[in-house]
Amino acid sequence: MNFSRLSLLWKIWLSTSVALTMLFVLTGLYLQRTVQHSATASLLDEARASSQAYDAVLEARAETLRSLAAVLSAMPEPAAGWLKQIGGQLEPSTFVEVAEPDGARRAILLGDEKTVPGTEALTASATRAFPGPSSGFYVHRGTLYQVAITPVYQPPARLESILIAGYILNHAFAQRLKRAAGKSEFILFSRGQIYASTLDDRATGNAVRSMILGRNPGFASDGVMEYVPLGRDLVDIEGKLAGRLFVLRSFEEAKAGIAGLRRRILFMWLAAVVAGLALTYAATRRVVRPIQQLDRAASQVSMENYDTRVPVESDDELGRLAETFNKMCDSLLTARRELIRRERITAIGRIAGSIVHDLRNPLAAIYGGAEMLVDTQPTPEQSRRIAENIHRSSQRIQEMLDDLVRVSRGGAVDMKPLALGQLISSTLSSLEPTALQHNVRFEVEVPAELEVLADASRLRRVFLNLVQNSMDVLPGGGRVRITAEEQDRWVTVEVVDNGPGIPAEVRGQIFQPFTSHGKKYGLGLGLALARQTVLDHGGDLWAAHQRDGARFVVRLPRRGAADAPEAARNTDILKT
Amino acid sequence: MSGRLVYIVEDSPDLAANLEIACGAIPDVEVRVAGSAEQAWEMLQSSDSAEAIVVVTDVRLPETDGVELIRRIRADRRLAQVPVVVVSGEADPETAGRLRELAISARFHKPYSPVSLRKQVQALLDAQP
Repeated sequence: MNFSRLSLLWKIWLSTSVALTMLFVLTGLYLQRTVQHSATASLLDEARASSQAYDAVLEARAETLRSLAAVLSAMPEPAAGWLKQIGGQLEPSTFVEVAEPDGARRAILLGDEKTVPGTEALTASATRAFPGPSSGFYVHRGTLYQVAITPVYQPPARLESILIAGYILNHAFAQRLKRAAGKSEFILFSRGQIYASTLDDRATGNAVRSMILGRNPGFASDGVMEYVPLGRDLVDIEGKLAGRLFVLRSFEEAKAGIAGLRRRILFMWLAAVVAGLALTYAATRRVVRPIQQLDRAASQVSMENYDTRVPVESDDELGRLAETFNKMCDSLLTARRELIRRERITAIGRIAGSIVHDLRNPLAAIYGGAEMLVDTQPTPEQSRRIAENIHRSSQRIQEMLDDLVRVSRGGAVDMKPLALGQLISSTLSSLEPTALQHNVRFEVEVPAELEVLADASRLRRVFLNLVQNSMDVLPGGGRVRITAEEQDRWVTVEVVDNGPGIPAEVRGQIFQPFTSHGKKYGLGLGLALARQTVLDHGGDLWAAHQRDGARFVVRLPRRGAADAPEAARNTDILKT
Repeated sequence: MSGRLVYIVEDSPDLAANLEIACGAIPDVEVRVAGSAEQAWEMLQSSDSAEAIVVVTDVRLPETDGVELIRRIRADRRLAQVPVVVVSGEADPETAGRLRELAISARFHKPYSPVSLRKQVQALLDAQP
């Protein structure tokens, strides 16, 4: 798409849309980044809070276990019955066992033998803390436990037995913990193995992988959802690293929030663009409309319609431009009127001059002849010649006046079918005496059957004029040849003489009214009238180029040729 | 052949006839009529025996015009002194300017009086030796 070919309104619209869009994209990006940052920070805070809540829960569990051990150690008899009684208040997987001072198991007070860890290793790792109790995380045969170990002494200081209480940290425990401590997910992980997770296996695997292998420590993903992770170390009874607790705060809510923000920004952008376009349209119309009016008016002026005006609707630059344009049109109109007026005066002067000039010769003959008849004593023979001159000159004046009248009357055509041959013969016979006198020979070749639809008297004048013109240029005698033939729907008549021909410099003007070249008599209307007559008949008349003499071609529609008048119009005055 | 010649150079037959009749009334004069400047020039070339010549010419003529004819006459050693009377319809300054340098004897504007013209021609003939 070519920007320069767009209309002004579209250009302004496009610019506004692009500007608004860029503004919104930049603002939107900035807002989104800010919101993302603050969301991440608040999620991290939430994760931290969750982590602290988990710590508190785990610490509370450990405290429960220690209390349980302390109570049991104070009891004189093994209290399996009491334990069963309070079991409902403990973790479902809670176990209690008693070991000999050497670490061998003495009895299991609570719990299933299959899931209860062995006592030897546990008591061995707890002896360092004796006589005090100890607690911590413990991994045994693929299971993660939280345990509390309490030594029981007989007075004065004999180690009588060791009490081990604990429970299993598995997926069920994780779910319960999540319910108790908020919305965060968490994963318990130790030495390459996952012991407890609130996520499903696939999501857990992906999340751990992304936390361990991922480049961004503040980011985790389970492949579907994204999280802000927070890790904490889990320690065993001896204070060594036993595993890690990962608290995962889901990013989904924040993401939904950001998506909502994006939607709102998009909606606001759309609304702003629509409002912007509407406002621009309203504002632009005020600018573009006068320009469009000026554009249309200017194109009218270019077609020489100077009457066109543009409304002046404002007092700004455009209003002043419209005013100037209107003044310019006024000036053009005035100038044109003045030009036309001057041209008319010039034309009238030229026509008047031409008429006066051409009337002067026959008038001189009449004036001089009359004077001689009055003031001298001419012989009867001379008197007769003078009278003849007077008569002929009067006739010429009459013909000129007729021509003038015909010019003003225009072309009323009384069409009748007529034989072209007869018309030409009768025309030539009227010229025969003059032709004999000037030694001019007529040659006629017109087929008798040729018929045209024409106004006989007007068409006769056409041929009379053409032949007369030829005779005028043959003062020393010569030949005028008239031929006619039928071509398609046309009848073409040629009038050819062997005179001096038409000089190249006047060929373009010979059909203009009031132009006569080297002719003594006439107003220079003959050829102009002849051509107009032929045009009125639906034909054309032109001067054809020829090396010697002049050749005029008259083309008339053949009688019965229907749409000839239209076809005849595309001809030029002069064909070469 | 008569000793006194009047050449009428006029392409209008009617005006030529008037001039011919008017000048024909001058005693002992032969009037010769030419329809063009070229024809007149040819006739003038064969006028060796004339004792007096006057040329009456129109300005506007087919092909070669009257002014050009007069120029040729003035340039011709034998004819240079021949009096020339001009009859013309043109009163335009350009033609007047062209004629001024050619020492014409008289100028008549159409429509002119053939009787006055005849008197002028006769006076010019009589003035010649």
